[in-house]
Amino acid sequence: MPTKKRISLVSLFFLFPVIPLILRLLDLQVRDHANLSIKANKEFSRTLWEISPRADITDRNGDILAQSLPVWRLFADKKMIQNPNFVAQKLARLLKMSPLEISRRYQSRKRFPVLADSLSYDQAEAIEKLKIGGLGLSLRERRFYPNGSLASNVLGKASDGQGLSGVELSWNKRLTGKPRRLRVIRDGSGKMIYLNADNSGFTPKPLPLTIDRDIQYIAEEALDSAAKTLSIKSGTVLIEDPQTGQILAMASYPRTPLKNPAIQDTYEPGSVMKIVTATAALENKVVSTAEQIFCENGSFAITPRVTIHDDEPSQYLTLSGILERSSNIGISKVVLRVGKPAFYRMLRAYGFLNKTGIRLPGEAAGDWKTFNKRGEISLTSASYGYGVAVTPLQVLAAYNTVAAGGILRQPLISIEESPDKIRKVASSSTIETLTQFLENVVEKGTGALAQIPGYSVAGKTGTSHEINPKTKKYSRTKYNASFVGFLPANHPLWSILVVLNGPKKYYYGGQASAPVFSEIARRLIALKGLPPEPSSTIQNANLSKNIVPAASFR
Amino acid sequence: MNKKFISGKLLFLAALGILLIAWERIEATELGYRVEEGRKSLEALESQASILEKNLETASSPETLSRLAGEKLQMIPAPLKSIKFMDSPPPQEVASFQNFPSHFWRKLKFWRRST
Repeated sequence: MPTKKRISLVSLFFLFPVIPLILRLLDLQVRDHANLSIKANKEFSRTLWEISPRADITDRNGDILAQSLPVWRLFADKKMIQNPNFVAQKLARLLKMSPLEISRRYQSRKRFPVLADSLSYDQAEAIEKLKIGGLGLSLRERRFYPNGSLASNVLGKASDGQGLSGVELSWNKRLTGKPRRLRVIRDGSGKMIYLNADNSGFTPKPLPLTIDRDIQYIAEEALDSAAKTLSIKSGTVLIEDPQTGQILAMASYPRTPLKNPAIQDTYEPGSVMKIVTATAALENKVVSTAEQIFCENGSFAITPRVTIHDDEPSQYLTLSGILERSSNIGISKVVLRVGKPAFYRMLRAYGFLNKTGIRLPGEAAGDWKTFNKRGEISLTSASYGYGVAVTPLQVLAAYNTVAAGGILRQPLISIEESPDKIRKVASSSTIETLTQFLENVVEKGTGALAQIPGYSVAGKTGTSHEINPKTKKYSRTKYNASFVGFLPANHPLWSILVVLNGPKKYYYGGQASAPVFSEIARRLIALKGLPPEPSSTIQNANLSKNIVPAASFR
Repeated sequence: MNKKFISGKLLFLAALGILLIAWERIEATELGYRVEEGRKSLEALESQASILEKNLETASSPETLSRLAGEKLQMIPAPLKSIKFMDSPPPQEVASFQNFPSHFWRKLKFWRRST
């Protein structure tokens, strides 16, 4: 046999076994390609979702109030772990936990028990380096509030990327981002190889609130201090910028992220409601500023069965005097002249019985359902703040209207919202007169303890009996004490409301709440460096506190 | 000879092509590793940055500052009456004739004398 033929035969002999291999390759690569490709992809490639952190919440100056941080959760797969005690020993130092505690967590009924939550990146990396089979790490985000409980009633709470209350709930959509999708493949050792990413994911920008962290702190500190000295059951302090309607502070006591009493709780406000009657009387010209109204020497029978009393009996008082002395008889006589329709219109005009529209969850509208069926008694009692339920924010919005020259503004909680004028409540001359009346209240009336030497303050005190929830009757021993006002009276920078529920030592608004108002206002003045006003604008700034009798703080 | 040369060239080009494809795949994989590593280190840095930011915010919160100022420096909030506004003196002083510049007084006295 020639050599060439022999070589060919040997070659064929060696190549023959390759033929079925080639056929099998063709079968796998061509005929079954689609199926096998899908299987391989499932085995090696992974789709990961990068965490898109929930947006930060900042105050008006950019200081962070709420922030999301990436944290890792460590879990175990019981089917893959042979020696749990050994794993517990290994993890103890890294997790800063006792092996016993880790073992206890491992004993849970689940197949994948969580051994540790909220691990830092360094801890997670150290655990990965241990290369213990059966342990897994999952990335998640956790919400932190760097200022502790500061403004927690406004911020609310978020968990697992979902807002549960407060700003976290009402601005949930704005705060939530969209995670980015990543495609990777894993090599034999389990290492990831980046393939591509989908760019539709985004992390939202921080949400700036109108709250000022420092002002909020001042409000909360003053409220906490009042809680200590007066043993109050609960309380609220609100501070608003009259020119824009932006809320600068919204403090509550006790503080909880699950409830915001400033907008969710209603109460009978007492004499701070006298402003509604006074505005309606001036606007409809049923009372002149000089007119003297007979105040019945402190006792006035509206009907044979119902008699109204004043704490401080008076004979004749002007409308300003009625507000200064907070005379229930005087204001009742005025409201009877104003009449039910005009009073009701003014009440609505000030924004009572309607939600203010602030973008926070669970706002109450207030209550006065049976108004139309009631007679003179309900009208007169409403004129001094009984029989009507309002929220603290509604009261502040009403006084803010006077501070803003008669324009009712929408209270705002985020700088992203544009200031909105709702309506003009009263004429400029009426508002000017009212401002003067409110200044008189502080200068020579029940609000004397709200005075600040060198600054003009306008405001009104309010005291009301609490309703006993069990008996549904007015309590004889528990009161709501409030003071609401603004300063400087001529060019207001801040409207401030202080409501204290159930103060023990003093219970009149002028005794309990006005000093808190004054304390907050003094610190605001110091904080912002507001220079004193010309003496000509302050009529009686250094009025002694002692000349006002204790009974006239109502 | 010519045919052999052409087929040799083609073989060489094919081999070169295969090498190029293989090199490209190896490079892509290498790059994939690097991107993944970069992504992980970015994640780590971002995580550390946000922890530091949180610590900074906590340390500069009004509550912490107030506590530290009180405990370590014995500081208390300044009462309003102890604050002096240097660039804008109290207006009652401005309104007083005593504070007018001396040359104004001289002019005024001269005017009085002359009338």
